[in-house]
Amino acid sequence: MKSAVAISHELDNAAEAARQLADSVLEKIELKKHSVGILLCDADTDGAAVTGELKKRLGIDVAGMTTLATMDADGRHEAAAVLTVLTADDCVFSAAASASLSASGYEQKITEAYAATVPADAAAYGAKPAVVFAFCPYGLPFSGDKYPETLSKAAQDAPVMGGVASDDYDYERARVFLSGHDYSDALVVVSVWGEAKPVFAIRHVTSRFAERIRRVVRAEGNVVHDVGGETFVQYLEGFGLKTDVEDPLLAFTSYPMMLTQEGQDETPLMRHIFSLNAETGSGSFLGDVPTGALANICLVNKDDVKAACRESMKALLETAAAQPGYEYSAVFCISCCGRAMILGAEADAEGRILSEMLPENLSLTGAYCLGEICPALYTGEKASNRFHNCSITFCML
Amino acid sequence: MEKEYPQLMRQYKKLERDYRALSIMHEQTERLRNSNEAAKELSNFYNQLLLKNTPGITFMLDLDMNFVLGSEKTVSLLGYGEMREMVGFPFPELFANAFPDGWIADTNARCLAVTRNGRPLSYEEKVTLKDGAGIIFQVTVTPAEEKGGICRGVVVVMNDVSELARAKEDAERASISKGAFLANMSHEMRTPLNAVIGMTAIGKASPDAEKKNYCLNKIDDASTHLLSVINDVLDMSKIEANKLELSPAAYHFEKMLQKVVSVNNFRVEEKQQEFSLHVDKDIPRILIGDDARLAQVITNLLSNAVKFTPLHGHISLKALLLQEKDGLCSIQIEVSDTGIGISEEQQSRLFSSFEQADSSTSRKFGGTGLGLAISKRIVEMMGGKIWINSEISKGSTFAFTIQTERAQEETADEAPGPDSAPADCFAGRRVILAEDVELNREVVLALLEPTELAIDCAENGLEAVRLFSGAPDRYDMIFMDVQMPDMDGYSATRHIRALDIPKAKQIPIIAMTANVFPEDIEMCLASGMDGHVGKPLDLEAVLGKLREHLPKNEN
Repeated sequence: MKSAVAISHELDNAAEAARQLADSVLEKIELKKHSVGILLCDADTDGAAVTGELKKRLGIDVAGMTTLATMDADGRHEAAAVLTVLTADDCVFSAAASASLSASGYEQKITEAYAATVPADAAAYGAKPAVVFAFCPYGLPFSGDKYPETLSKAAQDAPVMGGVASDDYDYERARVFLSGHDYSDALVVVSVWGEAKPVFAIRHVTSRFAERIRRVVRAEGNVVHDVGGETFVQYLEGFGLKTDVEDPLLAFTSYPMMLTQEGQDETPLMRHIFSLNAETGSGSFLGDVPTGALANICLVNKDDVKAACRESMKALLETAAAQPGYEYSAVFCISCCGRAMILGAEADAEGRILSEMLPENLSLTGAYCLGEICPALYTGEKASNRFHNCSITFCML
Repeated sequence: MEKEYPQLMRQYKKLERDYRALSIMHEQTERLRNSNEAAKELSNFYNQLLLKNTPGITFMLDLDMNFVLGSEKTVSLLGYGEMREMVGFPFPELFANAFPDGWIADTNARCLAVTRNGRPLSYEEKVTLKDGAGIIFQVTVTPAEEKGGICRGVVVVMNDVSELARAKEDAERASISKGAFLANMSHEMRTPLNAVIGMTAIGKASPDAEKKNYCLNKIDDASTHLLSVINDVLDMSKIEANKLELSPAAYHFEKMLQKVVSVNNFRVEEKQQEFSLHVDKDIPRILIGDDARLAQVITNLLSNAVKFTPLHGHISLKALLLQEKDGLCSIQIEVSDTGIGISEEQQSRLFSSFEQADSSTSRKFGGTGLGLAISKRIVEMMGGKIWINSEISKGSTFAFTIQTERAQEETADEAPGPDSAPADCFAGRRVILAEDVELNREVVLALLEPTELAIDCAENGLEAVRLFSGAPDRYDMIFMDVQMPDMDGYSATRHIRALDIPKAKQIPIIAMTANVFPEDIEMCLASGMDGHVGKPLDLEAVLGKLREHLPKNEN
């Protein structure tokens, strides 16, 4: 598999942006038998128009989503569109969008979207895909966990990589798109079949905690009612945090909750607070919160974010080096919007670090999302796909 | 400009986004910081409170064995006013005020070892402080480790366990004494039991009537002795459980003394000792008190005097009125002998239970070692005290006082003594004896045979109820054992009393049982019984009940 990455800062003229991206890609690689494009771009981009134009120019499906900021080998970019094209003779790529998702029936629609990406001659490429990319809409009335859960089931525990579309914290312009269409309430799935050996890495920040560990007594999906005998709002106020805020997702972005479940060996769950209910005292999160888990508030700062970025990239490169005989080409990075906000004046810190650490033979595409999907564990056969927050995740193909 | 305007707006929005995020995060961080600081202050306050109120000597040393912090008790023991006067100073220097140099050096070495090997230490040691106080400390030295296992020093906790150690010693000593006592009791009980068993076998095997009579007399002596040993042990148990009670009643003082003297007389005669009795004329004739317990004390003292005085020695018993006021008499009773005497060191242990003057005494002279302890308790319950004057080889005088009352009417206990009482005859009377043990039934039947009393036996309470309800007018009285199979004595009594027969309410029912504690007697009375005789049976007590409850003109 080969890859090429192109960037355009042209956000107001979709056709021009598409032209710049397509020309840049074609300068770098020759398209092989099968190809797919992944577009990560600023929320002001007309994703539908750009991906439609790219499909015309390159003759390939282009899927993607809006993000807070993007990354490539040169670092972080605000107000840009970054296109990665994957091309191979021994892999097939397939993309599809789900029907509109709502509170009910979403599992079936997600499954159908995945099923639509299964090639007719899938058997020739293995029992299941090498990796599934998921570009998820923001703000739907169900937990982000449902995406990896449903896709895992449909794809027989194949690894799932992706994120939740974001914008500039206005929550109105986040979109996902596929080849000329954009969606605020649909999932776009790209599955990769054939000779690909993806490797993954994930890190979140765990160095400092507020040391007020309590057990989640009652939670329903992503809504927490009772923590250690208090309502969730009381639990937060116990730290001295202000709960009467307009934008809880932004206000608590530096204070994600870490959840550990006794007996579990996998990476602990990180969860960002999404909203607070002053009446009931409950709190909603971007992902599920398991009842009985031990909860603690993390205190995240820039150094933690940078350290996790470095560790994660290092782990990724080491894992890839342990796969002899396979030539990697592209690195995808999905990082959390919260991490971007925590970096503050050092907003480009992660981009810089990745740029420094990226080997020359690899391309890099990254995005800041409101939720990351990545396997917590992947044995090569089976992936434990999870929905994460406040984490930096990688997939190398 | 047309092209640049949207880009500028975009940048502006992103800056606004960043500003908004940073503002909110800054505010939350400030609040969290304030909250953390408040929490730290509160935590410090509680830490100080903990140190102030920690009862033992508790302190922490850093890796260089300098003082870091400690409890208020530690601070004051070492002669300082406040903990901060000590912070940073070396442990040996601070503790030199109160602790000996050797202890400081040892403890310092132990603490250093704990910081090196990370293994906590726990030990007990006796320390003589510089002010002379000897204290036994339970010491624990624990490495003070922070997260990640890095040792920062040691925490030392020293608890004063001197009292605990003393209590443990006392308990161990008591346990040893009790063990020795139990061994002695076993001997004291087995000896007469051996005589009973042995003499019974000899008597059974011998055709000679004189020999049989001799054996029966020995059995009589041995069983009486065994009963007294058992009574002593039971009395001691009651004393230790605080259940020994006096039963005051009017009694004839001099007659009580005469009875006691006569019981001891044969032993005095055996050893050809001289005995004298002196009773103060001013002591009222009739007193109110527990004559049985008083007799027990005097008997014990006389018995000891006879035992520890050699052949041809002299024993005297004196009773003196010390004073009388408003009917309240203070009487002193002395038992003196010309016996072996008791050393001063031995005298101090005499009245303790389980101890005799000399551990070899029981082997040489026999005895449970309980008599004086029981006597002391009885005397104290009678408002008096007991003491001894003695000299080795010259003899001893045991004396005690009691507080007692002159009886209002001098009519008590005028009943004739055993020698003058007419023989009991209950011919024409019939009683039910409810007793499950065949041997006990035989004993009662044999004891009462001379009185011509007719006795129908029931083997349990159920049978007793059946016998009585079948022919209520046939019976004049019921002797009821308590512990019986199928139906016990309490239930049987309640059943009889509940019968719809006039006689059922009236017939005297007397408990005949080995349960002799006051609460047992209360239970008997509560179930509807009219009285109680204890086992082993005292014939006189049984006859007393018969006399009391069977119509007099029939005797």
